[in-house]
Amino acid sequence: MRRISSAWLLATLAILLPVIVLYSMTVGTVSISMAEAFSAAVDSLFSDVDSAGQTQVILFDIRLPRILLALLVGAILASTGAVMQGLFRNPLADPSLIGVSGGASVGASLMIVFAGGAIESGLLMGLSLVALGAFVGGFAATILVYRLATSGIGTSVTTMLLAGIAIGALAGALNSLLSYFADNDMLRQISLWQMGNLSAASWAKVLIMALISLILLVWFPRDSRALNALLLGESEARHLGIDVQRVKRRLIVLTALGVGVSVALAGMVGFVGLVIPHVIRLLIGPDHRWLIPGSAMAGAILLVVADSLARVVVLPAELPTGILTALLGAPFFIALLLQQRREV
Amino acid sequence: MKNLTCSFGLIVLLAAVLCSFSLAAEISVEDDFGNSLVLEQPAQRIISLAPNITEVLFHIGAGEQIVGADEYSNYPEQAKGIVRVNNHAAANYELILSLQPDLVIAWQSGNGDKIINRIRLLGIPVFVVETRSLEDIPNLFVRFGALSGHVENARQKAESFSQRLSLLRDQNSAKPEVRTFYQIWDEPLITLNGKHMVSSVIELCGGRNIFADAIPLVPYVNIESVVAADPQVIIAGGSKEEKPHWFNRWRKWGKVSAVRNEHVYLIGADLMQRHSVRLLEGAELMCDYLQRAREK
Repeated sequence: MRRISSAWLLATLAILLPVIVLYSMTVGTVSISMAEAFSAAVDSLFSDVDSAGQTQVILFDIRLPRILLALLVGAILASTGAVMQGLFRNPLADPSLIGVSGGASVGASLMIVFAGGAIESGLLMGLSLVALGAFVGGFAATILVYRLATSGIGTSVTTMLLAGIAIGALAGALNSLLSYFADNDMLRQISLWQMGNLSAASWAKVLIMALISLILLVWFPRDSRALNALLLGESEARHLGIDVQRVKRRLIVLTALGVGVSVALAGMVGFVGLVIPHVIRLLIGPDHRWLIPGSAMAGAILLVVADSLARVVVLPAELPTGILTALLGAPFFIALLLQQRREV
Repeated sequence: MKNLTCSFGLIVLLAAVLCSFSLAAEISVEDDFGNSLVLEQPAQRIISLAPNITEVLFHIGAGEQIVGADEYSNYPEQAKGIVRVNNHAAANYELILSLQPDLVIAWQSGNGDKIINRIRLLGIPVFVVETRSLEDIPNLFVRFGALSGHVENARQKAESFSQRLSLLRDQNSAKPEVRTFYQIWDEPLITLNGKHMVSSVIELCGGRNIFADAIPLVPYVNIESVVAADPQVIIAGGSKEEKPHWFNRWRKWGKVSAVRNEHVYLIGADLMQRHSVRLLEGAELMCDYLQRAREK
């Protein structure tokens, strides 16, 4: 398949992303035109909060935090997906593979079932106890998987994949067990949590997510060259002077951090982390210096678009965002695969 | 349509009464799917597979005859002591068989064909109900009365239910409409559309369900749609008696009339979402809350 220039793709995505964010500000139950949105934005700069009208409330308390959360979560899932696929040299790797999603859902369920009464009072900077449980669970599972796969001679990629599957199965069983003993209320909370949803976005969540994204997007590019070298194989990378073990540990911890927080704040959003890196790789090739930022922007765009559609396709109700990410992304991916096959 | 259901109810009522008076000891009652169930004598060992069924059985005086019930049958107090035979996911067929029931009463959309057909295969008569409107409830009393041998008591209860219901309707239906949001969950926001019985309770009280037109029966909505529809009353239906943990989160949405005028109320889901006699209590609360919103 003829590849397009990396710089060209990145520039296109960088222009597209803000345009899509601005456009999705006008998408929702209430129709607000671009001009109205703009004047509302100007108004809110010069007036105090109390006098804010319905338009302002909708734009800046409801839509904007949700769009930004979608953007950040999409960027994190897609870029960690790219990193995991590079690190494991496995096209099926995605962030959930290292156990983080499974661990997070067990953590959340545990909190729901055993700390039910304290959930209301347990608000920490807008982060609920459930989100905290999810984050701790995700992180703990990742460390467990990593430990299982690490011996004196380093971390075995195969063992890590297998350990990830085993921990995933264990997490699934624990989840079912907890659901079985949960009462009606808890059951609903568990199942809804697992579906993932961005509608509960708030500025506090956006802030936390932005902080984590900043850390990840600053660190990941530093390891781009190491990931490129790893594509040749681990021993080859070692001969090129790369401390493979350290790179692995760092990237796994960062991924667990990023995915743990995004799962904690937005629930499970599948598909983005697995497929977006593939799409970008098919378009511009496997150079991680471009692949990681490209995936981040494409993931952000996909999630923002999917979430905007989720808000309006079944008005006045809404669809779970996860359905739309797959519905939009999968056909595009299949088309790319078909094109690739034709050109070989 | 309403007349039709009323007259249908009357016919069934008459049929049931006639049956009970006919000296032939055989009882024949039609369930909500048109299947006639024939019993040689009133059922003495009944299994109820849903909490609304248990409530109705107790209400008409057949509570003592229940030998097994689902995990959620928590009302009245005596119901909590009944042997549990099923939950949302599965039924214990061995236990059901060992209780030697002469009648199982199931709720179609709650129990599903999988459980119902299996029990039928065990040779136990199953009476399946699917209550769709408020007017169907008294008819349920009458039929359960015929099945369990409490014909007269059931008839009286049915009559008083119908009276209370039409009283509420007469008092409220002509009053100014109140925009109402019925909330069953908060993250994500979940409500019920116009086809749900809760929506008919809202209409009974002269309210309008702001999401009556949504396509799914149980739609997920976003806060923007709620702000745009600007409900005058928000009714939260927690599954417990106390306020759900998300009750107070409404405070930050002062733009919504119901929040601004402090018309956010709780009606326990057991009162609102169970097709049983307590639905009237729920309806009375609902009408009262809607009236308060009219006054301010």
